[in-house]
Amino acid sequence: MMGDAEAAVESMSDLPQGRLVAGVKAADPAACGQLYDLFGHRLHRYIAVRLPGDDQLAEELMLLTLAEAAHRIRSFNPRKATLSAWLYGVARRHVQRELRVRSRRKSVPASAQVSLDDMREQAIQEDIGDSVAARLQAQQTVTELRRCLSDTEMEVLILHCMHQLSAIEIGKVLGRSERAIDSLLRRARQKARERLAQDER
Amino acid sequence: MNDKEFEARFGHVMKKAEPVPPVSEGTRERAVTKMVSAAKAPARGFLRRRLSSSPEVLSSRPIVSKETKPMRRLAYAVVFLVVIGALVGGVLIVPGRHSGTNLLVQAAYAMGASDSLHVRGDRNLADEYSPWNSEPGSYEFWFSPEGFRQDWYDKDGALVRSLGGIVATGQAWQYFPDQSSGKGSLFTYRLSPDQLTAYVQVNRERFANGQLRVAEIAERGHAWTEAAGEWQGKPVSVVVEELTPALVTGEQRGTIEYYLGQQTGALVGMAQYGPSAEGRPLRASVDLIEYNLEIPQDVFQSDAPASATVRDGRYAVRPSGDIAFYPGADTMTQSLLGSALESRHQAIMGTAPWEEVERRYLSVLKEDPENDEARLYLGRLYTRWGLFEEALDLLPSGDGYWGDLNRAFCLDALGHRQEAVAIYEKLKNVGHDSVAEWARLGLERPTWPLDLDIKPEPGEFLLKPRPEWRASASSSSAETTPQAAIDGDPGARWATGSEQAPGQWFSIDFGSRVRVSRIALDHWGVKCYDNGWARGARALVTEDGVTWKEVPISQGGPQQAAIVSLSPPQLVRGIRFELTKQHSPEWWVICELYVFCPTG
Repeated sequence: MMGDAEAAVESMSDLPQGRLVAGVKAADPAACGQLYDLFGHRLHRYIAVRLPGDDQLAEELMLLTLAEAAHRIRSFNPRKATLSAWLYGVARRHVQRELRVRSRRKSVPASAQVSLDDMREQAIQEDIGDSVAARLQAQQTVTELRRCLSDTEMEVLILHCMHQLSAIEIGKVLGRSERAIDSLLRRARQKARERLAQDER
Repeated sequence: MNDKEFEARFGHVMKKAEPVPPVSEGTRERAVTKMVSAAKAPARGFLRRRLSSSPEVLSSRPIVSKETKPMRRLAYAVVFLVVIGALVGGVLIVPGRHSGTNLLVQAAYAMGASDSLHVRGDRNLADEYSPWNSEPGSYEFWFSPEGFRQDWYDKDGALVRSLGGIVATGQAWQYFPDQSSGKGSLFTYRLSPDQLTAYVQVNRERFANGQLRVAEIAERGHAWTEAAGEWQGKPVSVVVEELTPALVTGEQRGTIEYYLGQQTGALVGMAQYGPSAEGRPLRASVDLIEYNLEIPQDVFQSDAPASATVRDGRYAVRPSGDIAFYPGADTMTQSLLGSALESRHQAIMGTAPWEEVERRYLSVLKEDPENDEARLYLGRLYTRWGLFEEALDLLPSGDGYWGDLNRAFCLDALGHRQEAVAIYEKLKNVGHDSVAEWARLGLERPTWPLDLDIKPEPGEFLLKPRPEWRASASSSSAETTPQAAIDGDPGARWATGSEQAPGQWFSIDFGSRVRVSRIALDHWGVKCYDNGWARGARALVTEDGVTWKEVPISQGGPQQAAIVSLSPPQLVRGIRFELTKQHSPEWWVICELYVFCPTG
C-alpha cells in the first residue's frame, strides 16, 4: 500500500503543484481528494510513528492536519518549501502539541496504552507470519534507539528514511538549515547504525 | 552497512515496531469534507480577511510586497505595533492578570461571545456549592455554546479563581492565582465535549434570568463532600461529588487527572467518575494539597483500600440531594467517608432542613431498625427538638459518648435530674472536649441544647455564622462582647451590662448581602438566662448598608425567642435591633442570634 502511495507521489511530482494548490484553495472536492490520496497515508504514518499506541488519535491528527492545510493553503509559498515539507511542518506542530500535553502527564494515558492481547490481535490481522515476539523485539530496539538518539535525531531519521524527505525539506519542516540537517543526519545515522549492528551480533 | 542498507534496516525496524493500521473506513470522505469546509472558512485575522476578499492580491506575492505603497506599509506597521503593544500590555502590565493563562482562559468565552450569557454578582450566591467557603466578593461568568469561563474575585476585586472550558476540544481548566508571586496554579482537565456541553447548558439554565436560581439547584440534587485528610502523613483533600446524570452520561467511566501546569507540571490529583453500583453518577477525587507530592497510582484503584484518614471533614448537602452514604460507591469512597461520619452529620445538621434529615434517618431505620448510626443521630435530633421520650427510645445507652450525653439531656428535661447527674458525672472527664464540656454544664444546672422554639421551618435552613460577620452594640457588660452572640455557641452570650433602656442597640453587619427568611434572638442559650429578653424592641434591616427600613419583630418571652420574619425573604446586608421600652432590673441578653435562609 505504502509503495503505491509513494509511486503516486512520484508520478504526480511532474504535474504543476500549482494546480492542486489552486484547487484546494477554491475548495474543490476533487482537489482535496487528490491531496488526501497523495499525502493522507504518509502523514498518518508519520503521526502514528511519532505518537505510538494511539491509532485513533493519529487518524484525528491527520484529518486536523489536512483541514488546517486546506484552511491555510493561501499561506503556502512554493518558492519557500515543497508542498510535502509544508504539510509535514503542519503535522509536526500537531504532534509537538500532543507531546507537550503528554509530557505534563505522569503516565501514559489509558487511551494510549495497548495491552499485549490487543497487540497480538492486531498482528494476526495484519500478517499471520508476524509473530508477537518479533514485534516486541523490534519495539525493544526502537526503545533503545530512542534512548541513544536525541528526539531531533530520531525525528530526522524518521523523516528521511521512512518518508523520503530530502535534507532541504526536513530543514523546512524543522525550521533549520540544510547544513544543520545534514550533520544531524550523519550523526544520527552513525549512532543508530552502531546500535543496530549491536543487535545483529 | 552502507547508507542505503542502513535506511532500509531502520525503516524495517520502525515499521515492525510501530505497525500503522490502515485508516478506518470513510476517512477519505471525512478528510475531503473537512478540507472543503476548512478551505471555505473565512481566514483568521483582519489582514487575511481583507486580503482574501480580493484574490488577485493573494496570487503569489507576500502580504506586504515591495510594490505596496509607503503609506499602506506605514499603516500596517502602526496596526502591528498597536496589536503587539496591546498584547504585551494586557499580559504584563494590567494588574490582576497572570502570565499567559488569562489569554488561554479568555479564549473560551471569546469564541462564543456572540451568544454568550454573561452574569455577574455577589459571590455568596455564586458559591452555593460551598457555603462554608464564601468569602465576600463577586463573580463574573460567561456561558456560551462554545465554552465557558467563570471568574471569582475577592472583595478588593482581585481574581481568586478562574474556571474555563472549551467544548470543541474537551479542555477545561481551573486557575488559582497567587497574588503575592503574580504566578498561579493551573489545573487542566480533559473531559468529553458532551460533559462540557452539559455543564454549559445546566449553567445557562441556572442563570437564565441573569441570577442564580437556587431552587433549580435543589432540584438537580447535586451534593458533594469535601474533606481534608491525611495520606501517608501528607495532607490531602478528598472530594466526593454526586453529579447530575447530565454531567456524567450513561455508562461512561473515566478518570480526570489534575496537573499543576505552571510550576512543576506534576500530577496533583485524580478523580474517577462514572456510575456507582446503584447507577448513580458519581465522581470521587483525591487532590493533593502539597503539589509536589507524588502518589502511586494504586491508591486510586477501587480495590485498594485507601489509607487516607479524614479529619475535620466538611460536608454540604443540597436540600433535596440524597445524603445516602453512597452505598454503591467504590471502596475508596466508602472508607474515606466512613471516618467522616461524625463531621458530616454535624454539617448536615447545619445546612439541610432538619425535617429532611429526620426523613432520611427514618427511612434508614425502616430498612434496618437496629442501625446504630441512624438511632444515634435521630435520637440527637429529637433531643434538639424536645421530643425527649422518642429520643430516649432511640438513643443507645452506655456508649460513654454522645448517646449517653443526649440521654442525660432528655432525662434532665423530663425531670429525672438525679439520673441525669449520674450520667453527667461519668462524662465530665471523657476525652472528647465537647461531650465533657456539655456534661460539666449539665452538672451546673438542668440543661438542654436549644430553646425549643428555635429551629428551621420547612423550606429554610440555619445559616452558620461566618467569620466576616461583625456585631456591635451600644454597650456590653464586662465579661461579654457583641461578637459572642454570633459565634455559633449558645453558651457564650452578649449582655448590655445595664438595665434595659430605650435607645440601646445591637447590630450585625453580614459583610455582604445574605438572603434571609428569619432571624431569631435567643436569650435563653444553654445556661438559661431566663429573664434577659427585650421587653420592647424594633428591628431595622438594610440591603445596601445605607438605607434602613423597619421590619416586624415578635415579642420575646421567658422561653420564647424574639423573631424577625421576612416574608418574602429579603437580601439583607445588616440588621439592627433597638430597645423601645424601659425595664428594670434586667439586662438585655442575646445568647445567640440565628439566621435562617430559604432553601428555594
